[in-house]
Amino acid sequence: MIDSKTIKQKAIEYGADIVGIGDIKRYEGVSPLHDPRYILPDAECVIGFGFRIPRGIIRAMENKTQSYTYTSLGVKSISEELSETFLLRMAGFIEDDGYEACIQRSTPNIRTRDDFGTNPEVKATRQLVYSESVGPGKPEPDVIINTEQSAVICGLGTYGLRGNVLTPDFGPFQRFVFIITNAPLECDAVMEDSLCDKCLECEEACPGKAITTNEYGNTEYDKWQCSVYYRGAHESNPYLTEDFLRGNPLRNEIISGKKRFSPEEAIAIYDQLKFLPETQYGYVPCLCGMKCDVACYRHLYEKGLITRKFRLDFANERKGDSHE
Amino acid sequence: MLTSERIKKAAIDAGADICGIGDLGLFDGAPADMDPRYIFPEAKYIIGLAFRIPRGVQRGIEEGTQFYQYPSMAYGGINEVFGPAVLYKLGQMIEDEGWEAVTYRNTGARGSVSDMDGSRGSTISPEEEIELKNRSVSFTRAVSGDRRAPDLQFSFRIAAYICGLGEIGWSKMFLTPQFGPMQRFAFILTDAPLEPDGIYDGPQLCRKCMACVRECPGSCISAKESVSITIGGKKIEWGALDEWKCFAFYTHTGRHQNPFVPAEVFDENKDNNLDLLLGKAKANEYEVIKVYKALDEYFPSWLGYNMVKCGGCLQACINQLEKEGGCLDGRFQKPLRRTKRWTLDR
Repeated sequence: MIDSKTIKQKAIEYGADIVGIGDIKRYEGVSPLHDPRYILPDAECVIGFGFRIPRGIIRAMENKTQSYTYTSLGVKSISEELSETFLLRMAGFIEDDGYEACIQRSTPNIRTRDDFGTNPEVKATRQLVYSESVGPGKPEPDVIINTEQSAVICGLGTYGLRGNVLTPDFGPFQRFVFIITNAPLECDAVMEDSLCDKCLECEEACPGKAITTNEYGNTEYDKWQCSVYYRGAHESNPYLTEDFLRGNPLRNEIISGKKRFSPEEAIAIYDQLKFLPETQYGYVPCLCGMKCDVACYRHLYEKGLITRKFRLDFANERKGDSHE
Repeated sequence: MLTSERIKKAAIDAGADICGIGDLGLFDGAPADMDPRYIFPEAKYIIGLAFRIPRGVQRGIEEGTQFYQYPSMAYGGINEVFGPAVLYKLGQMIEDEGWEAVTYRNTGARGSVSDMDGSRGSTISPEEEIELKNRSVSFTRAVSGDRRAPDLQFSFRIAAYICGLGEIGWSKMFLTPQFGPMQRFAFILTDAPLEPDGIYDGPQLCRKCMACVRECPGSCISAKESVSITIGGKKIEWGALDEWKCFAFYTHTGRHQNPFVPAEVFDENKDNNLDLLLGKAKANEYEVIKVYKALDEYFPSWLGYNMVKCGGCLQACINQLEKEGGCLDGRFQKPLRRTKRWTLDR
């Protein structure tokens, strides 16, 4: 008979790096569009699994000599290959015990009706604006559980400044998937102590100023702004040439990261941001270098808050990273 | 020494849920364009691997609240990622012993013969997202007189039957004793001398209850007309399926089953594009393409797969097998269907 211990053992055996189990009651008050109980009404818990993004991939990107590896192996392979195989095997393990396993892989290209943001990692997203409830009391499909909220509910980490999740093992560098189940499992506690100390280094590091904190200390993360600079609209992008936006009066404003992009303006400039080919499935190359997360990781590592230690330090950013 | 027992253990260890081995001689009488022996003439046996579809990925469609996970995981995830990885690993083991392993994944719409109607080159199929303006294989010819035109695609259902994995139900879905209709397949053709399992001779899995007929939103399965073939001296039969109609309803499901398309779009029926879904046109390739083009904007595809929203026959079958007894009774603590199946009242 499965229990929390066997689930966690099996998850590690199948390839997850971290596992946590969250009580379904912790979703109380969440919008129905993101509440897993509308997917599996008798759900008891959500099991969260984290897959590390190897630090070496981040280093290769940080050294500015390799960009493809992060997008291909750090994003696409984990989300589309490693975690899919993992989820299918894990679901089989749970269902062999007679319980239901509702796999929740990432949904990179769709947004719920109430989500007006985007996913900077893929070429396009679509908001399901026309979806209609199939019956009384049911939310409009698709219900999509919030990845970050679910990771926190599963006790895997705490929120970072931009709403991402930081874990003691890997800081900001992991990706999550989940299984909603009606198996009655012992749940993990939610982490109480925040890893994020609001140092604002992520905000300062973002070349597109997608993370902003106002005078009252409230932080906003603009995914549309991020999507433009993730694709490399900034002068620090080594693939950017003098021909980029030549003749455009806003060129300097854009490549210095001062221009604010509306969703429409962001979509309009994507075609001019094709510095490298997309990967399979439509993941766009990351050409901002994930500077926000690198700054965060470095800060946490130097403070001794990352539990997984390396022999090499994670060196400070090299000087002269502007290529213009 | 490579034995059937070792192969089966290795297949399960690698991640397959069921493994069976079939004698390729049982393909005698199959249409030559669908006979796997033309792919590997020296092959004697076919190894069938089944990968379960977790019942939980059906839950969102059953509840009407989540549709993305089923096509992306149970089609894309198994066909594109999991299945090939297991095939590769098992192929390594066979070839390490000096035998050849032709790994054969689900190829989708890439055969020389249509999945839909058997016509040449008409190879679009409902599962895989394709360019709807062109057939994916428009011209092909045999490279010599003793061969068949590439790419040769064989029937996975027939192959699974020959491997002894189960039987074909009235809905044309393949049923196994372990998972009912919830699995996908991959195969290996090999010249290794193995012990075949023989065709399935356990209790009848499909009871011809016709739940699949009743719950198909497009009424694509006939309750009376059937197709039958004989394999290994045993007659097998399934209900006649309007493949083109199924193609349209599989992804777009019609006015009462597709919560992503507003009712007004069906009311307007611009340029008669939705005639097929509205029962005003006979199903064919042209009408299917009209439907797909017209409704493409309402739900994006992922992993190159059409996003199935139907689940009609599959869920009906699971429901009946769990309720009436048979291969799925007792497998889960609670049944898939717990309330009346939803329909959009509009």
